[in-house]
Amino acid sequence: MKKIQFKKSNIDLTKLLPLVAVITLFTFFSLRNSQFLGLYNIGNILDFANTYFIAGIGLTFVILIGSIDLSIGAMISLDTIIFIIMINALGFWAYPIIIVIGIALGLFNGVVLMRLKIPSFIVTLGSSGIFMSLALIFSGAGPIGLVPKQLHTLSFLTARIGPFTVNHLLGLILFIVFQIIQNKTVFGKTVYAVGHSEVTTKLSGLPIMRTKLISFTISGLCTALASIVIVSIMLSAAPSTGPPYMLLIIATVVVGGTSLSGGIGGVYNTLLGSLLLSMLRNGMNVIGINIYYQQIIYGAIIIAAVSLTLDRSKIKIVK
Amino acid sequence: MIVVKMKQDTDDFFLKKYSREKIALLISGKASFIALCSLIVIFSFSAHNFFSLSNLTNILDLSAILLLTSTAMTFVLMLGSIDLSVEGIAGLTGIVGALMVKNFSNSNDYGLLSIIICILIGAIFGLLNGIVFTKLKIPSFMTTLGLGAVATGVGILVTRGYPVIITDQSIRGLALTKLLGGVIPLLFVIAITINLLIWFVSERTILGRHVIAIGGDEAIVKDLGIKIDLVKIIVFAISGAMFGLAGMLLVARLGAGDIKNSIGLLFDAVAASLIGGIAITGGIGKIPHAAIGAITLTILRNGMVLLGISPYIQQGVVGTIIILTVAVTIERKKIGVIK
Repeated sequence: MKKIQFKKSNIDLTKLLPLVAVITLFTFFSLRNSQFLGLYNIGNILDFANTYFIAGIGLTFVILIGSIDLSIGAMISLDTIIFIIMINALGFWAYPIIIVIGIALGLFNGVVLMRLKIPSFIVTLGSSGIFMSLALIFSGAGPIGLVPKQLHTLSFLTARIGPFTVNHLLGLILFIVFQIIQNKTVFGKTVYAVGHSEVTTKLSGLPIMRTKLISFTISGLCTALASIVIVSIMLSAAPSTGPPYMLLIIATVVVGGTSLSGGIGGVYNTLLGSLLLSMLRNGMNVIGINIYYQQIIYGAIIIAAVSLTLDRSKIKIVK
Repeated sequence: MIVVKMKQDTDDFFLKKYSREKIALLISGKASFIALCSLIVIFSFSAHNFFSLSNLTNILDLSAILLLTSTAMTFVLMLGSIDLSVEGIAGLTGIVGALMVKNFSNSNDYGLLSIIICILIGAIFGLLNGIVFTKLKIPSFMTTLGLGAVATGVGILVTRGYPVIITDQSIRGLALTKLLGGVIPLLFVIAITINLLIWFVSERTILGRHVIAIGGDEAIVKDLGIKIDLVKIIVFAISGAMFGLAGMLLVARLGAGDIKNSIGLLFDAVAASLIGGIAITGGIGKIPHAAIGAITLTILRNGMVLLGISPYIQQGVVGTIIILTVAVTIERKKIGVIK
């Protein structure tokens, strides 16, 4: 009995914890150093959070259905490289092209998962190798820069109004759109159902495979959009661009309170997660914590977050 | 009756009529060996330098560290879990080990003792993996991802991210010595000995049988009263220790301890285990298959280089092979829901 009660209180805590953490961190860092609230610094925090949030939206849906997408890092490398090549060659036409390519990459993952019926872990581990190969082929294994005459194609994305940029507007629009998709559509409801119990959902006659396919496609689309944001900030791309993002994007989703066992969390949680990690990173710098400790703190926070958010009543065997 | 019917219906959902299980059963245990032999034949005929003594030595040398990590990974996969902390642990022990032998950064000279320290550090991190995994009940995937990041962070912290160049000849000798008239590399002998040792543990000891049983069906094993948590913690400690050793052997080969030494170990270790025919769901596969997988992967890479295939597409080829191998070997009936 005691154990069950503990679990119930744990779940209530889980829902509030990310929000409480964001507010606590914000207050803490603001009190420690007033520069934290400066306009330029707020812009920095939003820039960092925005990239991880946009890439994290897609992964949120994948994790909600209980799967995982490990190919996001390689996808970012491939997307950014194709995007910058296309901008150099075609200018504004690069935007629709990269979105189509992003959708195609996500669709590839989904179709392989659907046809071969193997765990998403393996599918995306394998496809990340394929995407990375393509990234190496297209880039010739080196960095590619933007040609100066195409600068206007990207510069409007980073034009600042106060602390805000057009990139942040993109993040906001995506938040609203996917919040609606998640809460108001049949697809969104099915995602939660699949995450909670796939067998029950299947017996209820809902299209499981289509839901998975769409989730992976959204992941590909959001990764492409995040790649646009990354390129607009860095103005260059290389095969090594993507992999460092992988762990932090998973962390963003998980820290926000989306459970890796599926069915719990959502886009709103990912927004909180991205703000949390970005404030943590920025705040640690602002109050002068040694940068060498940051990786350790990240690793510890992921484990702490998962141990708090995991719904253990649902999974009997922890593999 | 209705329940039985329903059970059959749900089974039919996950199985197709032509049943990949049958194919898997036919070639299970032999698939990896067949693949290895056919690769050797193909490359022997297509790449004229492939079937030579010097290239054979080369292949054994290159496969040694991969053999070590894939053996550890296989042991964990047999539990049905996974250990993603290989890059973190090997990176950390590489740096600590390099700082303990003769090097340009400080005046330490502990020689071969450093290897024992590396194994201990790896085992401690593995133990931590096991304890967090079993006691906090966090999936091994997330536990080892997080603790791997912690290990990487500690590794960066120790030298502030700078590489440590070693001058210790006894350590360098581990990687440069070739036995039997310069044919068999010492590294390979070390790796294959450990592989056989782990094979013995998995086949002939209580611990090993429990590992296979847990991978087979954890719920039943739990009902039998076996201390599942203890078995898991020991397996993770063993794999951590082997990753620690792999980190130091990398230093012996490269002549420097650096956090970036270990990048790529994870992808290769998982790939080699899967190519060797270890089912990701646990309970299937034998430890020597890890050796076959490691050598197959090395021969694949080596042969592609000799054939002049662009290095850029090699990772893609390996990725495709991982997907196809798992598609053939996975037991869909057992896992039911494909996550």
